[in-house]
Amino acid sequence: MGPGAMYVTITSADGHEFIIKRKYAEASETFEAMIGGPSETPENEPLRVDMKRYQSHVLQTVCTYLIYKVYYTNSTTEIPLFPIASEMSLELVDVANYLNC
Amino acid sequence: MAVVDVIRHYQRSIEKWPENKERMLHCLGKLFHLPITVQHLQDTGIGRTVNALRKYDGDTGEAAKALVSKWKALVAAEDSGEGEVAPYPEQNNISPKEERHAHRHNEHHRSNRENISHQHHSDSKKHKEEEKLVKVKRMRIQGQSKKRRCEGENRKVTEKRRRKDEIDSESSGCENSFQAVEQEDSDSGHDSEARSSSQVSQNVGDNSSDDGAQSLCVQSHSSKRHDSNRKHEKHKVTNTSSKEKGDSSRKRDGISSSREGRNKTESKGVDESKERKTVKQKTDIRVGNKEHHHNDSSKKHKSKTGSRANNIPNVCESPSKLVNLDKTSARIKKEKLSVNDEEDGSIDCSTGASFAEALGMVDPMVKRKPHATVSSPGKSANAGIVRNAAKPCAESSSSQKKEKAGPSLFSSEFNLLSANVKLEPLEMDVDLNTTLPAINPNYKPLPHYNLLDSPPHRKTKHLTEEEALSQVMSTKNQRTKVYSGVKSGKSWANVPSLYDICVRVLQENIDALEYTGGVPYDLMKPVLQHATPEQLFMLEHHNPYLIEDTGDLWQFHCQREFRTKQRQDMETAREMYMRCLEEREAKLKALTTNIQQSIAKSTPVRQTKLAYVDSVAKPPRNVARQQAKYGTARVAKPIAAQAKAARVAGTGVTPVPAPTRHIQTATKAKPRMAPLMQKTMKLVKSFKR
Repeated sequence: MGPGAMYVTITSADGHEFIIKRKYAEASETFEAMIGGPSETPENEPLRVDMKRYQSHVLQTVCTYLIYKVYYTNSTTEIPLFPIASEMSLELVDVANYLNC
Repeated sequence: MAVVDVIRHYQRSIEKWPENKERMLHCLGKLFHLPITVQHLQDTGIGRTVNALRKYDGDTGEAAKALVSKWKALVAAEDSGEGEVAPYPEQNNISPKEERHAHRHNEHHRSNRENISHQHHSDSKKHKEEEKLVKVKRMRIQGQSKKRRCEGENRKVTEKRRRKDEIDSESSGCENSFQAVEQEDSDSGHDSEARSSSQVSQNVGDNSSDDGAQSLCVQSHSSKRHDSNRKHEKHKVTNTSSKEKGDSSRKRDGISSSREGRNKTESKGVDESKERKTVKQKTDIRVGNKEHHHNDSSKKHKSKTGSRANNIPNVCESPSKLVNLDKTSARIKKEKLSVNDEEDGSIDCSTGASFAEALGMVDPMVKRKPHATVSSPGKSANAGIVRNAAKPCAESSSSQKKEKAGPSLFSSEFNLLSANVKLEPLEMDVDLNTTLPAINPNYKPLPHYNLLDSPPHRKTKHLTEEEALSQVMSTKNQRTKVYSGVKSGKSWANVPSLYDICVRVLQENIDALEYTGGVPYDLMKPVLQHATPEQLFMLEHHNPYLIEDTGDLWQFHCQREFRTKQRQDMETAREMYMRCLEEREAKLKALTTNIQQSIAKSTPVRQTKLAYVDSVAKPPRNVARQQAKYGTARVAKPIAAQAKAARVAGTGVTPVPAPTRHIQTATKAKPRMAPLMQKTMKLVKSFKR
């Protein structure tokens, strides 16, 4: 809750909300800017990020990817392939570019 | 007379008259009262002598044991003070073996000292016998590394973890176990890990049981197992095992001493049991392992495996079991090592040769084997010592059999349930986080190498010396996994960006693309660059907005395919490409038809024509002769011409060709004879005449 919250809520176009840890969201520079900017959210409200341009299935993959990225960054273990359904890849290109991640 | 001389005197008398119990007792008593220092012990080797006496029954044995424990305490005290381990002279029993190891390693003495110090520790706490066993084990491990320095006995395992010798851990926990652990650690990098784990377990064991010494040793061994580093080794395992071991170890004293070399294997077994140890152990072990990398020798490694095996099996088990354990432990160790590597982020590679192995050019299998073979007698001894940590006989044996950490882990869990077990609290929370996979809604198990499962292909096989040697040699050339980076093409060097991943997927499936839905050209560019002209055209067809930007792409294609053509004015690259393409197609087609025709002409095709349409059919010769003779030849009738004429005329009546019988010019007065016939006739005539 509030600006120092640990979790952020990402809202999608179809009303889904994705609540992920802030550190994962900040793997994306865009998210980082959206969250870390001047926090206008009052103390009692969770941090929200508005992604109402994109569908939830896309955002779901995005969230998964963010965790994958944070987990394997600076890791010495073998980094596995991140699977993406080809049907979703086109939309993901859009989102990925937007989020710069 | 110097104390050393006195010692020597008594030593000689002991050695000269082993049967004379009275004399022995007398000498032992005298030695007991002498102000002997560690230096003396080292110089004279009296410890070894007295150690050998422990086996004796009755007063002699008791006195010898007392003396040994006293000296152990002395050495331990000194060690903790200096951190230096004086070679423990007591290790008579194992001395032959030890010396073998010792010779191998520079640190032999050091490790001995460590052992001794540990032993001292253990002595104070545990039964002396157990300590001795531990010592024996340690002696074996001595060769291993400098790390073995026995630091304070009661150092916490955690301290040791930090890249410190297992010694630390040893001191903290049961001394005995530490000793064992240390030895283990020194054995190899793996060992160090194991050791730390064992050490930790030992620590726990210390608290819990008196047997700890033995069990600790065992545990330490197991802890050495790389697994321990990562996993929370259960001290309990060691503890409980130690309890059991206590009894068995006593029995094994004699054996264990002989099995010094096996200590390592035992320690390995301990490692397994120690897998459950706390994180501390792991770190300790890790530290130890790393340190021992350099020091490790194949021997050590083997011993480690052996020790590992030993740890698991019950004391009661036969040496054969130990051998199996060794193998198992070695395998497990390897596995654990790999696991540890992953978790640690250390340079040790997860699978395959560890750094230590790489340096020592030793294959774990190799180590296992020699260790097993050599130390089979000693293993039992080690097992005894190691058993301390081992779980109940049943469990250990089962674990042995399975050669898996699983059983040992289970057993360790049982040990955990024992009352005396005290687990040290987890120190680092971070480790836990990194070890656990991130919560992923699309759960996909990461490619995690389950080290607990022994590789199926690895069967316990007894390698001959030649085989072992060959393995060692071959591993020299094998790629050691001591590197960081991409191992195979399947994995990435660093985390790819989502955009890159998507682009890659798209590039692989361009044909499946149709409507791109407004994705700007800039984003699609990498994909389009991979597209063939046909695909590009198709995409443009579906997404006209792309056309305005694809000029460069078309230019590229034109350049590639129609190098000689020039672009006409007011023609976009795309149009030019189309035009050139069409021209090429046309040219190709023309050529093709030409060729086809020429081929058709040259190749004879069966044709059917009408013969004798306008002329009379030519009869065979004999018929023609008859016709000429009787004038029955037919006249050629232009039937075809008539038919045609009729058709042309359009008359419905088709003239019926009336066969007019004209004698076909019987011009020839007489029937012509064949030329040959003519000649013949001439001859006949001439003859007739």
